[in-house]
Amino acid sequence: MSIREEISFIFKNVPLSNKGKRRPCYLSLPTVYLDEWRLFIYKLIATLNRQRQEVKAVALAKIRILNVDLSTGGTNIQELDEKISKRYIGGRGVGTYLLSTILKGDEDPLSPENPLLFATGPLTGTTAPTGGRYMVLCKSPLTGLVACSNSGGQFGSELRRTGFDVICITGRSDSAVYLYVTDGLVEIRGAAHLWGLDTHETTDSLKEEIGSDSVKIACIGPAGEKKVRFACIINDKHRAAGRSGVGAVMGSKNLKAVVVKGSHRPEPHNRDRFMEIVKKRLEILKSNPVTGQGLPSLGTKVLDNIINEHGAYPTRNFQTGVFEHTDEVCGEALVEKGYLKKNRGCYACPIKCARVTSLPTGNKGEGPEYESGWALGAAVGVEDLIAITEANYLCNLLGMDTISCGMTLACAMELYEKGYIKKDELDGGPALRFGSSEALVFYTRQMGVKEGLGKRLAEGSLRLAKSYGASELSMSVKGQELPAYDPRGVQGQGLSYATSNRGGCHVRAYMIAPEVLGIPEKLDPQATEGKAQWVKIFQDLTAVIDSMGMCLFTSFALGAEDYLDILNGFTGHDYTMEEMMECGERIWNLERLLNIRFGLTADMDTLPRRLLHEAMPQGPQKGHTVRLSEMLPEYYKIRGWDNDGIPSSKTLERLDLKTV
Amino acid sequence: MAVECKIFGTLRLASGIDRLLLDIPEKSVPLRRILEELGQRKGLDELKKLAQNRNGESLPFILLLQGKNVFDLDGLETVVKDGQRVSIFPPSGGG
Repeated sequence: MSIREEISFIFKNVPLSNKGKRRPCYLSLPTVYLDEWRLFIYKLIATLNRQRQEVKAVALAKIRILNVDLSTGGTNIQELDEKISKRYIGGRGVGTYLLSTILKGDEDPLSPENPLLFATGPLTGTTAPTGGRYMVLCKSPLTGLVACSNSGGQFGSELRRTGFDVICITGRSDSAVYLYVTDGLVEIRGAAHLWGLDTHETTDSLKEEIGSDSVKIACIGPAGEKKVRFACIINDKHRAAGRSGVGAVMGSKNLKAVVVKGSHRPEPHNRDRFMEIVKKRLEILKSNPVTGQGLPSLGTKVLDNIINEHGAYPTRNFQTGVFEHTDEVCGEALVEKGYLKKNRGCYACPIKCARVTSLPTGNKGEGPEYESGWALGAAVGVEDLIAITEANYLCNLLGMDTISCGMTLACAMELYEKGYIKKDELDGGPALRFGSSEALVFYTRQMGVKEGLGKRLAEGSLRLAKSYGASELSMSVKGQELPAYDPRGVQGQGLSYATSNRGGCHVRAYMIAPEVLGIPEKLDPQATEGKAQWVKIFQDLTAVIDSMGMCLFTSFALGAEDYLDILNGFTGHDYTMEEMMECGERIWNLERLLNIRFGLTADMDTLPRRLLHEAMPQGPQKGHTVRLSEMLPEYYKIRGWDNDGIPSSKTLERLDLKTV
Repeated sequence: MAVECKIFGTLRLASGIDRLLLDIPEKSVPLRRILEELGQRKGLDELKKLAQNRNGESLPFILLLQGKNVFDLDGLETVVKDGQRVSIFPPSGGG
């Protein structure tokens, strides 16, 4: 092991607790240089610091960023100005702010210059319901735009307990390494022995090596190592920071895993008041029929039938919106066929939507969720729930985004059936026919390990289709594959896809809630009037929830007032509703500005040709296309952007973004 | 008249019914009446409550007639005709 790998830093440890449990404060110096007198001085500084900090409310403690440069092995701690923290809340907001301070715009996403951030929010690791979320941010190798991928499980809460809110990793290590972050300590350790292992093997090996079952691990699999453009980061074996290729960026840094173990419990500004706030929201979540009943018993896969009956269940690469075999692959079938063993929740989650499954083949795992089950099912025309679940397990083991994986395969199948991909290009693999379980499992693996045709598939659907001169067959927005709702049946969702800051994505403004599910109120899915305003509000509120460190699913039961109460209750800030929503708007606009810096233009705020010009061929939405032109100009106007989709100087001034 | 009723989600798990053909003497009935009929069956009593609720429209059940959400039509008063298909989902969410 090189000296660099052995270097660990002890540093100033700002307390998270106001109960008096504080650790000494050391400045950033390698342990090898520490001696007695220095230790004494540092302890003295620590005492002074402590006294100074104790005057403040502890929950308002500054956001602490652990910077790790893998090229030099250097680390340091950065504290974020409180004004910035308040403006960007945490998690997604603060992460985006940090990206904007680091990236100039022309960086190659797979170069050492692209930072990789793990960012928690103020509610991560607290008792707030679902308060265990974290974000991974970087420039995406799939879209070339902002990548901002959310995950749950236990990793985020444990990261926050180390005393760091954000880990910012830059540079590239010469050899494979992993980070081991504990209370006030970070080590860069060799990971050559882990390279090539899947995400489960990596997690198990690290736990054994460290000798603790309680450490939490986020890692990449072979797909991330090989820089598959839609590789994900898997934490706690089954949870994924799934989209936009954050795993490929981690792989490009030769970083196999981040291991965290901490003991600081984030303390609320006012414990009693916060407990009261949390208790009330827990009751709401438990008594709400969606979060208290529907999601626990059927998980997200309750949607298969709803969306299919609605005629917006994208089938065979969005060629139609009705899948004739939905009965075979739906959430109800997962229960009735006996594959579902139980549900499981992430940290502090009362909803528990995760599916623990096992198959007659003997394989076990988690999933499929709605999106994964669809991408590896209807999207590729496969009706075999066992093959779908196996492919889902494979994606998790190899570390690949299920949506982009399934949709890239769907694109390849259409390219094959239309004669673009020739048989001799299959390298002996099964025919790329829609509905083929064999092709599904075979090419999923090939993509993850970049073998045979998998090398080309690993580039994502847009690059693949473009290479055959048929980019219109890539069902993507800004280079990222679309998820499981055909917007020809849900107009507002179409606008949401076209304007999402990370390309094809449903969780930037989940318009399915009002347009299909009737939450918080029922909107006509084929109306375009007023949808721009709805999309804007959903985008802004989602940015707030993501930045807080809570799960978006809480919004099926909670409203903006609840989030305001939780946020103020924990941090001790005094946001008004307008201020909180303005934070969301600021974050959205900052993402937009970053994307513009990366080369985004207004003509990219669009949808695949098929969805705009080819009418839905069958089902309840027959005859419809997405009427984007009826919504997009209004959206720009409401956003305070000019006709080119660029935020006006007035908008930037209002949002304190003038200097970006 | 005959109406095809498809039951989904937790209602389907509780009742064990995934679809049934409802035979009704009238030529057309409001959806409320269909829900009352279905609500007689074990595991579907929630539908009876829904049918009785005057403000049923505001409950987050998803009721589709021929794939169209009835709350975009006439709510529980939406007229159902012979040969049509009604899909019934309890309050659901996901993503």
